[in-house]
Amino acid sequence: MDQKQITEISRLARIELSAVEKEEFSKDLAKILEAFNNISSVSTEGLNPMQNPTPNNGHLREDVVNADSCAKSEELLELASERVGHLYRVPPVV
Amino acid sequence: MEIYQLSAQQILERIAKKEVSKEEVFDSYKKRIEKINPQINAFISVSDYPQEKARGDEGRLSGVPIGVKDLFCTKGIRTTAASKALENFVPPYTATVVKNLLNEGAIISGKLNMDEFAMGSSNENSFFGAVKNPADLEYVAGGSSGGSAAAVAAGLCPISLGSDTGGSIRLPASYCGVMGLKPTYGRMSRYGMISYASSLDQAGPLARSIEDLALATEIMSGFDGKDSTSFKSEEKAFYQKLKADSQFKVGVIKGLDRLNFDPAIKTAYEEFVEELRAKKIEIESIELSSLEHTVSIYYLIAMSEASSNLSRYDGVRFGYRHDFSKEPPGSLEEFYSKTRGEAFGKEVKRRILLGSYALSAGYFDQFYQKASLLRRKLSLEIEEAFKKVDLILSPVSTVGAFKIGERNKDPLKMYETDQLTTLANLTGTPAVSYPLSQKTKLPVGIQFIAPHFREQSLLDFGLYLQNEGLIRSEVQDVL
Repeated sequence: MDQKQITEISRLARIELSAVEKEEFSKDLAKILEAFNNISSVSTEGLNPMQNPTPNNGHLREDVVNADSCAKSEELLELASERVGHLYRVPPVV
Repeated sequence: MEIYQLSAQQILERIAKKEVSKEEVFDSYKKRIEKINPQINAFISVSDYPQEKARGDEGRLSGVPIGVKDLFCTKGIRTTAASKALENFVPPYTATVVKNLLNEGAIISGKLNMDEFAMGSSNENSFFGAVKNPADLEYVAGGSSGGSAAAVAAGLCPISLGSDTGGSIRLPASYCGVMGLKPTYGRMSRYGMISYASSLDQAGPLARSIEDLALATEIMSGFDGKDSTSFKSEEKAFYQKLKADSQFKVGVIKGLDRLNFDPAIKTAYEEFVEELRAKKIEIESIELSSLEHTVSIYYLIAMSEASSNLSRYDGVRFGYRHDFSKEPPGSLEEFYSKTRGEAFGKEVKRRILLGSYALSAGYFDQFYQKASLLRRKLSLEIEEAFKKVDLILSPVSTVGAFKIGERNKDPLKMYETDQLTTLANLTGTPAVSYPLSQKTKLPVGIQFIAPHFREQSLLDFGLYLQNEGLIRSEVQDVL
């Protein structure tokens, strides 16, 4: 994995990496992916991909508001680094 | 016997007989934590007594202090996931599994150390420092629920909560010499449990006796409308129905030799199999041809899910944000990237990067999709095996506890330790780690896996093994 690829993945993941980190991760990730690629030779013909680990397919609930079971918006807004009234505040980005 | 050496059941008996008050129990644990924790670093924060909801006399755990992995949200109590990203996060709600325990009168004694966002097998990846093994402070406690296992092993609480995505309850339970149970996927609500890999994550208890493990499993389990993967089930009276039972056909995996075992672990496992034979337990070989690929399958899926789950830490609504007061960001992308680049530790970054790669255009089929297909293959193999046997027995890991710093320079070497535990997460099956009674240098556990929803078999057989003296968990003095 070259520097260009690691730069592109870190952009996709929105994680800034230092030059040292880029150097280290590019070696690291190449080695790990090479090891994981051992699955490529195993036949998976006729199989469906599996996302649910049990036969239980989950449940759906009625589409109704249950305000008692939710955190209040004020409690959630309080967790932000910066806010203005009922809004989250971020530095100017344009 | 000192209070810290008692099981939850014994504590409850003493409280019922008025030999000791709940407050005295809590204080004695608090003193023990103050004395021992600086050496093992199991707790990130320690709570005071009494708390709201914990004062009633009702409840099947009334007055029992429990340690909670710092992955479970606790209203009003800081919850960090051992990450700088959540260093000062105080959640406005409580995880359902914690609430279930509080409703039975349990008292939170504190929040337990772990690998950052549960990503690790040795508990060396915590923003708050590594957890040390109470049996030998130079060794890792195992991860990611290292604090949960070390706290129970050192007598800092009789029961703790952990979570298990690829072995995170069973590995540290094995290394520290306590009992740990990962339930069937969907048995316990994930509401309020900070997500790592949603199709694999499950909460579970750790304890030093089968009775305590069964009681905590029973109380933590149950349907929760707030988790769409939680399932409705009547059969959750694990403690009430608990009975020692040896009538199980035990499957041993053929050709385990192909794995790279530490010889001492292999010997301990083989001796245990012989002990079972001597007790006339029926043992049969089973095939699991996908076993050698579990590490690749598990990590590709877990990292992919993690890269999506952890996108929520953007610095806008909660958690760490880069200080932009001197230099505002040039773009929104820079805002996120600077924040996330500083908030996450090395292993978390590594997994998000790998997950992003495995899901990206051009590589999706080769990695994520291929792993999902092999997950199906493994699942069918396990299903086939359970047509022949009731339980699958294996070592918990190919290695025992290792020295701090010994493996964390080489991620692949670390990932290897999860080869046997990930079997249960990938297939959604329940599994336990029980500590062997054999004399080994450090504690070593044994793993049993059961078919979906058969936690009762694991516990009933566990009680039999405990009564026969084949498994045992004792408090480590930590001197």
